[in-house]
Amino acid sequence: MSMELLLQAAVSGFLMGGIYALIALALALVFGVMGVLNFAHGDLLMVGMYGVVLICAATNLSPFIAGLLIVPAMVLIGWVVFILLIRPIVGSAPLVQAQLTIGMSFVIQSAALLWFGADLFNVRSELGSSSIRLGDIVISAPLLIGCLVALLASGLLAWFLSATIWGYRIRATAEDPVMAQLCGVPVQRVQRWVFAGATGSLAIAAGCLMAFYHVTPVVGLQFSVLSLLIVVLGGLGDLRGAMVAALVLGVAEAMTSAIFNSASAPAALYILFGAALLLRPHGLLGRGATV
Amino acid sequence: MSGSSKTVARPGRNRWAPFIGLLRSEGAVAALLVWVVVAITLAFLNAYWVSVVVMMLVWCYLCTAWNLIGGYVGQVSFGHGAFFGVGAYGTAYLSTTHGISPWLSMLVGMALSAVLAVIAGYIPFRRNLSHLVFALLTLALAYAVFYGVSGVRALGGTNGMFMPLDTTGLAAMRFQDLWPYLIVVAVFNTVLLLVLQVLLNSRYGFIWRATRDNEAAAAASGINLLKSKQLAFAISAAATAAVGGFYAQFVGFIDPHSALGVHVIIQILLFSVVGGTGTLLGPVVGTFALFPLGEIMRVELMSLEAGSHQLVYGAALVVVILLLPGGLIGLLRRAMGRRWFSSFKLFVPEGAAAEPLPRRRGSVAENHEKVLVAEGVGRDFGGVVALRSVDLEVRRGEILGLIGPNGAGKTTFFNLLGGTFPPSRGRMELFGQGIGGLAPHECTHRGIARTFQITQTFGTFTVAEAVFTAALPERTFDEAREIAAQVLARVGLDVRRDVSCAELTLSEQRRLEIARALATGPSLLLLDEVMAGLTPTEVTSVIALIRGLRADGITVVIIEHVMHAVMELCDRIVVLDAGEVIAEGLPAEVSRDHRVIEAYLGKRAQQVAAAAASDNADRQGGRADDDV
Repeated sequence: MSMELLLQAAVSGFLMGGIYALIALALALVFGVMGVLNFAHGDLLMVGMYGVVLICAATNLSPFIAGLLIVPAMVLIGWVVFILLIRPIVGSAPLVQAQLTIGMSFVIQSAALLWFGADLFNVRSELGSSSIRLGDIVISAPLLIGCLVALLASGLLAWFLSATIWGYRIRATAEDPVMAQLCGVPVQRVQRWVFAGATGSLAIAAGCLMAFYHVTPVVGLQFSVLSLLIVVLGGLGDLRGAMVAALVLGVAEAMTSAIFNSASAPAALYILFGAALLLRPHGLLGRGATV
Repeated sequence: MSGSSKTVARPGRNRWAPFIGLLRSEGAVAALLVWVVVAITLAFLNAYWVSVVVMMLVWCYLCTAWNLIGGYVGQVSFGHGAFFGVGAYGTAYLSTTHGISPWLSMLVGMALSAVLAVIAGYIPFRRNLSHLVFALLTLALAYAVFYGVSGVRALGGTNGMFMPLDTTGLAAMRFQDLWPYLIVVAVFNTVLLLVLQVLLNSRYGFIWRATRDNEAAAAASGINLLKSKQLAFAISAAATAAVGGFYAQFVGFIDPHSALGVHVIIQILLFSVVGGTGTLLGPVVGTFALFPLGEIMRVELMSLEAGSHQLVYGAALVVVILLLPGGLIGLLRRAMGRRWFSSFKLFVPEGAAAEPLPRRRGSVAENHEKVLVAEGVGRDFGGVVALRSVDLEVRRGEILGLIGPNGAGKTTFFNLLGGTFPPSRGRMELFGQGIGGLAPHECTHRGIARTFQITQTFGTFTVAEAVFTAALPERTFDEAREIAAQVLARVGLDVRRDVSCAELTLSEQRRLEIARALATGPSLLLLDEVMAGLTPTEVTSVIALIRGLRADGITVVIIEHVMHAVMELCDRIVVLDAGEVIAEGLPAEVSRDHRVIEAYLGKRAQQVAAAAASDNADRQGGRADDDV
């Protein structure tokens, strides 16, 4: 186990963590504003990833551009999903919400399987194999750009939430929906737009991922679990916590697979997750909701 | 409904009655359903369908086992795939490589699963974290075991383990034919259903349902939430591991994906929710309805990609949640009337004598003149000082009024006494023993009982059941029954005993709060605004009730804004403002204290009041009614 290998893993893990952060932020925002933990979050991301594949195959554009192009389509999907499925269960028991979104995840996953088959899809671009060397560390160019784009999008989101009137309304709704309603915030509209917007932001994440990653129908579940772990690790409802947790998880994931070179490696990640919660039960920054 | 129900379990009258009750219970009906399916399968179906039904009964068993923690205790576990896999791998590994009987190895797997469950449950249950944290932690457990097993060569790694069919017979749990498997798995189901039915009819059933319905009220009833949840989770995990062992023997080959994959828990959730959680029949019915449907779809869609039949499952789940709350069982119940089969009914004797209410056994140290002493007690929430520093004492047999404007810290003080959270500073002693930092159920066991300002009810309980459950911790079933009867008679809820707690009026809810507190057998009773929102007649009867309790030797502290009641009832009054005691004394003294008037009405009002008082010297100044 050389030092360079560990450093290499840490750097790649950090870059991956940046993309996780954008995915998890969307999930954390949805949870904060409507109290629904969406188990189909990764499947919506997967829809975006297939969308990017289709656009790239048809037009030969860069996946980043393709991701931007499908934002409106994803917003529309989020809008429809919210109206049909999410709105009826806002305020229901957590079991009911988890169940419904798991059912949704099943449907999306099976539909993807029927449509695209179980084969692996990726996007070919000239950027795909290029890399930057920093001493002994090799940084994959698409990963670096993906991380930067994701961080930029996260920064924009943070600015939107803290500096605009709609950002205030969203944060007010997250703080206390009843109070927000009494103060004249159109809570239902906020919830609808947050869900649609969060789904739209997944298109950006999908573009970043498709620059170097692949998509199959089971990728959705993988990202759902990952982003759920991040949101819990960051402290439920805590956006900054989710951001930190995403970077931590990205690094931890790459490090464990570098250190334990076996099929068991990912187990270490989940054990770390449990240990972290034991020490920081209310999230890494200790500001998560208790109930 | 009370007397007419068919199976009133009355121990003492007929000692077979509980068993007859059990035979007519939901668990027995579910077990019967299992055997009907087995009989139909053996009589009419071919070998392919027999193996499908064996798997269906495996899923049925899994859902039933999961339902204990997920449905009855209300903690959604995503970790049951791990327990299933631990059972399967435990049996496969020990029996193939060490030649240990699969029945014995099954026990090892069950023990291991129970230990895993207790470890995984400890963090969220101990700290009372969100249900979602528990769900995600158990999901992490499932993934940790999945990947952990994938890398162990002795367990076959990602390739899995093959179990050669050397010996057959019941001892080896391997058979040449399919039908014995069907019988064995049906027996598994029957045993589990009946064991669960017995547990649910016992004290644990009440404790678990109380924990699910309302944690605050359950803890105030003296229930140890951590123990209650851990016990259910461990039993559920061990039961799940048992059928994992059977599955390994039946299939003869296991790999991480089939035994530990995430599909295990997803299908468990799916079948249970579609059937209806929190009932013994629901998961059985859900599995029987969905599993064959999925199997048919799988065969029909064989030409398409593997796994696409799950589209049906997902769609069924979404439709049931949106359109059929309560699942198929809820639908059946609505269609066929609520009691189409008899469920267990708690017997609480009627017309109890008006004896003094029972006390907790431990509280014999009552010759102490001072029941409660608080010295410099305070509590901060982050930077907010909710309670600065409170010194007060409560004397034996008195009724002490705790008043003050909203936000003065009265309820915070009760929360400290009740163990909701520990004090940030100061000392609290009950009969000379420190009680700072005790958990709510420990405070209850020491003899402090409380009501909640916002009434906390057990939504699925009847009034009698709720009071009975509060009497249950640390007592026997029969003792709790007697106490419940006495308390119901005392607070005047006897006629409403079989009504669901959710259907009570506000005044009845407040009485139920008092009843729940009394049933724990308190020496010190904390009443938090039990008169708020009541009509004058109702207030009068509550005053009479509280006086009666004092006559029984119970010391009472009340927080109240109904001032004339406070003045009439209390021996002494302590006034809190901004987290500190500002006045203390007899009702008449306190109501004239200028600092009290200032705290309630502000400085100007105090001057006006002083002017008015000089105008009319006879007038008593204590009519500052209700909220200020």
